[in-house]
Amino acid sequence: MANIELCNVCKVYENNNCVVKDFNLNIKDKEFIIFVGPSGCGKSTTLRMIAGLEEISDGELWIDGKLCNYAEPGERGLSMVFQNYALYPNMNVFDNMAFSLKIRKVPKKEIKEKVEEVAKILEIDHLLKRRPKELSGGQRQRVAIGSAIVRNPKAFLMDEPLSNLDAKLRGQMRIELAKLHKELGTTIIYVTHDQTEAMTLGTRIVVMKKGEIQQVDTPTNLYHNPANLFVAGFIGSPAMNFFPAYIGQIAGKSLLHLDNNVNGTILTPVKRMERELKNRHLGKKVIVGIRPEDIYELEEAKEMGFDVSNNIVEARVEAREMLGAEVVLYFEHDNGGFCARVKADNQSQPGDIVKLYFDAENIHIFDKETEKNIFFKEGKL
Amino acid sequence: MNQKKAKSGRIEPYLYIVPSFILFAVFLFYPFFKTIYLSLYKTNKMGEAKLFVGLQNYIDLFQSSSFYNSLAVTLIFVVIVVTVSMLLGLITAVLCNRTFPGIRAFSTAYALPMAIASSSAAMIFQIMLHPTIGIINKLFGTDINWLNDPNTALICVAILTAWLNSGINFLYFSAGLSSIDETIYERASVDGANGVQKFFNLTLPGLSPIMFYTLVVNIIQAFQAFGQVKILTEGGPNDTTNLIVYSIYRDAFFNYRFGSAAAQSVILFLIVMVITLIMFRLEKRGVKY
Repeated sequence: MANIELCNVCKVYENNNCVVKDFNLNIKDKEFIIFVGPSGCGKSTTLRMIAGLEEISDGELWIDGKLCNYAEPGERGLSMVFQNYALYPNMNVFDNMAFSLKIRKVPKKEIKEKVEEVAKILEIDHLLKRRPKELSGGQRQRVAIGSAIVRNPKAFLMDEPLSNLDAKLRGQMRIELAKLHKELGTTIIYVTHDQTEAMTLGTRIVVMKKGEIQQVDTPTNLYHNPANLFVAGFIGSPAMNFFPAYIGQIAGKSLLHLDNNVNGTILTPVKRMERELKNRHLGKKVIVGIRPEDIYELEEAKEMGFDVSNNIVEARVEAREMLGAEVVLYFEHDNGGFCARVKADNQSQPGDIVKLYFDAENIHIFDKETEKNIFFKEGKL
Repeated sequence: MNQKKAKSGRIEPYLYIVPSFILFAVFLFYPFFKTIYLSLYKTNKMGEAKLFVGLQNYIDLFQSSSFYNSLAVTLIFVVIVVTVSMLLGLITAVLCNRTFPGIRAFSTAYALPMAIASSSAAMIFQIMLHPTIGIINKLFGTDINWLNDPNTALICVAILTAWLNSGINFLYFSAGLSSIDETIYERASVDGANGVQKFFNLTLPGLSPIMFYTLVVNIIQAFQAFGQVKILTEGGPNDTTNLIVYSIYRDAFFNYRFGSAAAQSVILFLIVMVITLIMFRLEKRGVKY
């Protein structure tokens, strides 16, 4: 049960290589915080600094109101699950789970009760006599988690714990982790590069890039209200489509000219955006983002009751991916390409010219220079 | 035609092992069987078998107090050498198992004894241990005739041998340490274990497979120590350093009793073989994973 606060935490390596810059985050009790980002963005380093495995170059780490920059890893009261599980190969499952308690000289009887209780929760009570090498990947994962749970830590630190599992098992363990978090009610800090894990597990997600926090928000907010171009492109699969554009004006109304071309495709922004664009951003170069599920085939859009008088784009289908419940169509366009997520009964084939409707209600507009979302609202949604 | 081919096909694999077989035969099998043969004979000064005496050479040995003495001396010697050299190798390897400036210089220094011939090391020790000009007496302010005192001679020879063997042990243990997964130490840190707890709970068990192998090699090596005894003490004083290998040498090339020397060789072989077999039996229980 912990409150963990990071103030301006930095990590600088010998050759002035700064891998984490000014990391500020307040993690509240019982939160499931996810650090997500591409590889090399400093998420694991940050976690290791919290654990005490990596020295903090600058800034402060507070755990439950206590400055912990120089506390030994064992004194911080946290437990960690590693990517490769880090089970002690010479000990059986019971001893692996009991190790941290034995070190603390907990009475044997108590250790036995505790380990057996946790083993039961994780359904590994029949494996207690086995050695790690006799376990499957999923079982090792459970033992690693069990070893972390057994001593009631203030918080769990998990470093890509599911990445060594196959897709099916990963899905299963994801659900179990969510369940476990609910049952135990302990703070969890979880590092992953997998955005599905991030979106499904986290109460809040920290998106990182090159050692800097890009946005800290709930999964829903990250998806619908990304702070900048990077977050918009990183969260969501298939990724958001981006079009370079500039904000022009016809008959007193601001319009988005895609591809910086007056004769090119024009998108009409919805009212709530229109005024702001006209007043403050006229003539500016921007990047327009739209998610694949906000692009519809014209007929489909009509059926769904959209006003299809404008925001129609014509494009040629380049590839088609049948995913079962839906179809992803890839289109050729003047500016590279984009994709749309359409209904599974869609019959368009590669080579077809298709009319598409862009739902302007859900477009995102980013400043081309700062890459910031023009309509980003802090704490909105 | 086909039959011919089939026949040559059967012979071909054996042809490939002929070169190594010849080497083994000349340098291993022939001396081995010749030794067993000689141990059943009385020989002349040229080492030729002259009179078949059956097991008499062995019976004589087991009735000689000098043989029992050399067995006892060898046993003490092996225990000291194996313990000290393994400890030295282990400590140096653990010390060098982290990166810090100058680590290579230390690693080289610790592995170096491996590259020194036992006789040249013995020469250096002889000077260092010299009662009047030796650095050891100077440093400790003592006046001990290290190599001529029955109380210290065996220990001196054993320590030298241990140091010589520690180089290869350093190498074995370094290899063993590098194969231990680094993250288990990180997990242990987070679990709250201190350095000593990590060493006994993770490092030692992690080294157990290589530890066993090193132990066997060390025991065999210790039984075979010869050069340093020849140079430092020649089995003296009072036979206190008369190791079994040196005793074999003395019987064969000073006393010209090749039969007795051969019998001792066979006994040494049996001792080493039995110890090795026992150790392999124990391996299954001793190795932790």
